[in-house]
Amino acid sequence: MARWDRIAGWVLVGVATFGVWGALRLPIGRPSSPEPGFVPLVEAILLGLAGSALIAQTRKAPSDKTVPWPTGEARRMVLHLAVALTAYVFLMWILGFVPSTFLFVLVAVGAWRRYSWWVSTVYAAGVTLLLQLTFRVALGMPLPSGLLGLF
Amino acid sequence: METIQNLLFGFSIALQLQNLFFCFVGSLIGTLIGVLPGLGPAATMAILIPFAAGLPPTAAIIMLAAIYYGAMYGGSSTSILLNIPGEAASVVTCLDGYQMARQGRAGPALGISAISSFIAGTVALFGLVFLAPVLVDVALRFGPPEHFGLLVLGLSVAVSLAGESLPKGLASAALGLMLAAVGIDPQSGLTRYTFGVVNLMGGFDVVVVVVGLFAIAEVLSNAETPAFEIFKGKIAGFWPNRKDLRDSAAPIARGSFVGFLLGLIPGVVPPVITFVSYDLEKRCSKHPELFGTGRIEGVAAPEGANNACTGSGMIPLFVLGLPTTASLAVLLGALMIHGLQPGPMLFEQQKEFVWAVLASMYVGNVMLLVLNLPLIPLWVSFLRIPYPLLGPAIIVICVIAAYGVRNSLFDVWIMLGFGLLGYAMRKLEFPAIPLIIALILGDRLENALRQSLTLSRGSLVVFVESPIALGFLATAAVSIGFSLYYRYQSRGVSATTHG
Repeated sequence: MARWDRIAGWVLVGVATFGVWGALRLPIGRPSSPEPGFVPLVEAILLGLAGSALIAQTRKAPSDKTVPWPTGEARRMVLHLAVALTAYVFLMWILGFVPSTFLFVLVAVGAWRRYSWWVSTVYAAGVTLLLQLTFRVALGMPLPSGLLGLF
Repeated sequence: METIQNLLFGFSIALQLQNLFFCFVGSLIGTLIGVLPGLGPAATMAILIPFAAGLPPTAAIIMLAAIYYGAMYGGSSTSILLNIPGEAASVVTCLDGYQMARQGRAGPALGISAISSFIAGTVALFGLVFLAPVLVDVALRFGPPEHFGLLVLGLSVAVSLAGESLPKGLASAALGLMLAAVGIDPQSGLTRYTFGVVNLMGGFDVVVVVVGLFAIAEVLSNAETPAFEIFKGKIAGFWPNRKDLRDSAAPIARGSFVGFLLGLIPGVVPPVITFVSYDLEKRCSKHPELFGTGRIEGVAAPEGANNACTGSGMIPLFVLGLPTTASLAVLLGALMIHGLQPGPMLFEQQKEFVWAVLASMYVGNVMLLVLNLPLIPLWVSFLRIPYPLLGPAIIVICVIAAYGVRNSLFDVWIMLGFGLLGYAMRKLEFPAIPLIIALILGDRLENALRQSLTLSRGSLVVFVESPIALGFLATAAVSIGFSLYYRYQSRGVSATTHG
């Protein structure tokens, strides 16, 4: 955990540095009349201090805990879902809600390797249809049609 | 007298057909969410906010509030039947509830859980109804320094109580504050941290962030674990016997009291409150060694505590605009979306709305008592939906909710980003609650600070001159101090134990 905490600490310091830079691009003003950059500057400094404290903590009293990152099959599952979800959002931009949702559910159910392709396909089609009818038709919510405007 | 009149007026609105319907829908969804492990009330409420945006504010908030306290009722069912808490607040119910189920006493365990929740919810509501107007009078005297002090206190307590590492809690809160700064500065109209990206001018929507941090992260976490065994036993005889009721009376009272008091404090989340209540019950018992073997007191007290705190948590939310949990932070977001600014002026300017919501909580408690007991076989049947089928459907609903906020795929990308961040935060033990609370309170904190400094011409003495503001800030400092001390002590004990 100590190694990962140190990495996290440096990431936070990096984000804080970026925050300070972003705040300094704005008018800071004075304490008597603070302007838009004043409070974000304080917040970024606070984040930097928290990150530094975390780094210092790992040096003074390193934790002997390990980070429970998934391994083996569990890791495969998480990666499979994360990649599928990323592809889903991208495909939705191109294809729209219906085809991308069908494909995502099909691939996501397949991640568990518990059902045949036939069952997964029927389930994916059913879920897509149900959600399309519920949200787009019944509730009148606009859903993405995609660049191709298929549905 | 005026309070009673207001409450009766509130009931007259809460009992209107439309509001009754949405209270019922919220209670049903809340119970279902509580039963199904994986999707908590905060994420569900966030998902439903875009759908509730088209409803009248009273009906929308009644429904969302019902989801919150409904989830507390539902979470205990899986704790008792499966030894898997449906909600984090129901973890402690597993200890004795599951043992009771194994002894063939699942019915009385479920029954006393529902009864305890109902009584505690009723007690909390009466406490809320009589305490809130008193606090409103106090809060009306707050100026910018007092508001700033209060918000700092709220954040500090959330930071000091969340997780084992104070720097991690502080980082989470600071990150939330920075995220709140993204967008257009309301005072000057200048854009901050948008870098020309038009979609960022509206800032990060709390619904999108909560759905990502909680729901998406939860699905990814659940993907790691194998499917659980579904309870196959028969559940019969929900009504506890006379001995059960006698043994539960004092625990329910103590649990309600503890839950109500601790629920007023920002950052003291329901899981902590239920553990405190369980621990208290064990200390009060003549046979503490029997806790964990199927004692009904071990179910009655924490279930009462967790429902009492959902009621008392509404007090700082409505009166001070200070959410004490992530779910209440989402409810605050919903109030603001509907153009309602929580705080003492809400009680003055939107009296009908406030008292209708408070009255609906009692109506909801009655509905939940009725729903939970006879419908338990139905809730259990939902548990039979395999997670490989449920998980992808949850993700798609999250995507729809994120898109529905501003009809923008950009928000869906943001949700995905926060989902991955939320997953990493869980692994690295960074608490998410300070981030959410800071995101929601960030704008108000900034306004209060800037106004205070402008009024005092830059002098920090303004926070010391006001006894209320000084009290809040001192309490915040004490809270952080105690947290540091406690952690230092724990590390010292651990070092001694491990040589």
